[in-house]
Amino acid sequence: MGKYIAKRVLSGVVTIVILITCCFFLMHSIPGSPFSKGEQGVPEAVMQRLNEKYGLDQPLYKQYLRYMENILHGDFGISYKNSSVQVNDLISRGFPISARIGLLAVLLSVIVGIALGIVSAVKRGSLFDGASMVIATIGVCVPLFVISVLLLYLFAGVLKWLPTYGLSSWKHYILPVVCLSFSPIAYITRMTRSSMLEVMQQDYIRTARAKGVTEFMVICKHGLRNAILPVVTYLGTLIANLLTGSFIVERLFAIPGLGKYFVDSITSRDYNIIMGVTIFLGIFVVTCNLIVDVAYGIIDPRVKIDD
Amino acid sequence: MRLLDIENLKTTFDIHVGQVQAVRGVNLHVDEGETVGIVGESGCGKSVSMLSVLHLLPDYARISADKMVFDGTDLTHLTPKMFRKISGDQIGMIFQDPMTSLNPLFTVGQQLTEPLRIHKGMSKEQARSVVLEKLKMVEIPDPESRMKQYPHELSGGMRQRIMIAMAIMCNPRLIIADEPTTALDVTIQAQILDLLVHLQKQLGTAVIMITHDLGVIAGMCSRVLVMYGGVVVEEGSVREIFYEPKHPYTWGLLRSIPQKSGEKKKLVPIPGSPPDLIAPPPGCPFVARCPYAMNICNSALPALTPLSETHCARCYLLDEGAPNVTWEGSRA
Repeated sequence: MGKYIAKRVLSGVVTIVILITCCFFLMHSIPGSPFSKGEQGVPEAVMQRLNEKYGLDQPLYKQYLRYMENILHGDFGISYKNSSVQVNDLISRGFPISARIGLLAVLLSVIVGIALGIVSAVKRGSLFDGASMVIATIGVCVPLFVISVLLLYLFAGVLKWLPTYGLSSWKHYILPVVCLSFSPIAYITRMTRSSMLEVMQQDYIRTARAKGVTEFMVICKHGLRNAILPVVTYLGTLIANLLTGSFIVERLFAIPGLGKYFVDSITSRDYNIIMGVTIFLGIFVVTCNLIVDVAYGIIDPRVKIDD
Repeated sequence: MRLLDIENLKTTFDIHVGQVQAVRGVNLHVDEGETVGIVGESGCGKSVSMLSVLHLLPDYARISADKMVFDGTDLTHLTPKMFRKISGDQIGMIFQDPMTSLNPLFTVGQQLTEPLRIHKGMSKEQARSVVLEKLKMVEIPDPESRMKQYPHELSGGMRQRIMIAMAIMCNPRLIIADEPTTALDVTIQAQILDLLVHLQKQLGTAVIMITHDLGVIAGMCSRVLVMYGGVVVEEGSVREIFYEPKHPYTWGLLRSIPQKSGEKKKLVPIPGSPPDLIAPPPGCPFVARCPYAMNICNSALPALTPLSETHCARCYLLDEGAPNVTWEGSRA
């Protein structure tokens, strides 16, 4: 187990290095720079001075090496747009907010998705099954921004039950969390339903029934534990996606999370923020996948995670 | 004393192309401590009839019976909750494929203690000691460490022993074994059969042995039902079935057993395939494959003709006016 984790951490580090390299050079291949001539018409001499100050006039490979060196010291640099902002601070301020909403969304998706999936599978062909499959299909198809705007309009605009922006009370969390969970719930419901239907046909389910196990325990103990395996696989990506913040939801509900910076920094070529946020997300995804793989080995004893 | 008494059991499956009549009026009784064999080829309704008794069929199965009594309890009117009290406690079930019949995600110990905790209300420790005792009975070496293992870590024969231990866990009155050796290697088959015979003698439990292997029947059972196309075509003691069979299908089955002694003979297969049970023939189900078929065989299902106190067969050849066709088996 320890050896396996060490191996995975090592391969994760390699992944991150590749990620940094690709991201760095791709980013610099985008035309323009943080200090390119905008509408304001910054004088040529000022731009030159700025580029020199931040080392942007140096050859690209030198910039790359210097950046790598800084990262090794845990320093993601400063924002080029607002030099008083450290990228490290920005992440440590934004991430907890994104993560809180994301974690709530993950919990909601898993609980509701699995529950709906089980009931649909058990009551296969019923009205409930039909209705939840229709909703699930809509949830998979309709993009997040459409759902978000619709819910925002309905619950905050028309009904005025919920606030429209900010995070000052528990009520503020409801809409963003529900919007974020909408399509994961749909995915998990469909996944749980189909794997549950398959599992309930298995011989060991018949064995459990022959032992006199109650139907509830047959479903929840013998069935669900087997049916949940594909959902666990999906959870790795889901957790990484939701916890690192959604640009759309954070924009729409004016939440000062991490997702907002991600897109803002690209449009303004704020190199350090782009890199910092990307590396952070990369590390987070790699870690989540590792945790899910280890969890998978614990749930399914047939998966050997020794070495 | 009658332990299980079933009359006119009918099981059908509603599927999209029609209704599969898997079991069409089966009578079966098992006395206490008796071993009864049900033999027939795949799809003749032997497993389905037993799964019907145990309420283990999917919900698109329709089951009816004039009588279905286990140890004085009428099974036809039991709610699922009441039936669960019997299943796994009074009746133990051994399934065909030990590879898929154990839950891959739970240890052997977890799965074996379950019936004890449900039916006997035992604590984990109490159940554990009973499980160890039963594992010793099914001759599993080092039972303590086996209990901590998962099914995939055990061989097929070992898993079937676990299944047998599970079936006898609550000291049942009746064990239903559904082709318990089909999925195993030949050498392991013999070991498992020996074990079953041994356990049956030791515990005095009644056993219903479902198989398509007449050798298994000869080695274990006292009474045999031969099933074909969803009906019982012949029933009798093992002696009667092997030495005085009356139904052409039984003859066919006996001719297709390999012989190890005597002159070299080719095995004679039964030509053709079993009838389509969505639209079963109105007459004898075996008519299309029977070398002695007469016109009347197509008209209606022949009744069971009693031949002795224990022996009966469902064939028009047993009628007084029928041509004299006799079994010239080579068993004797």
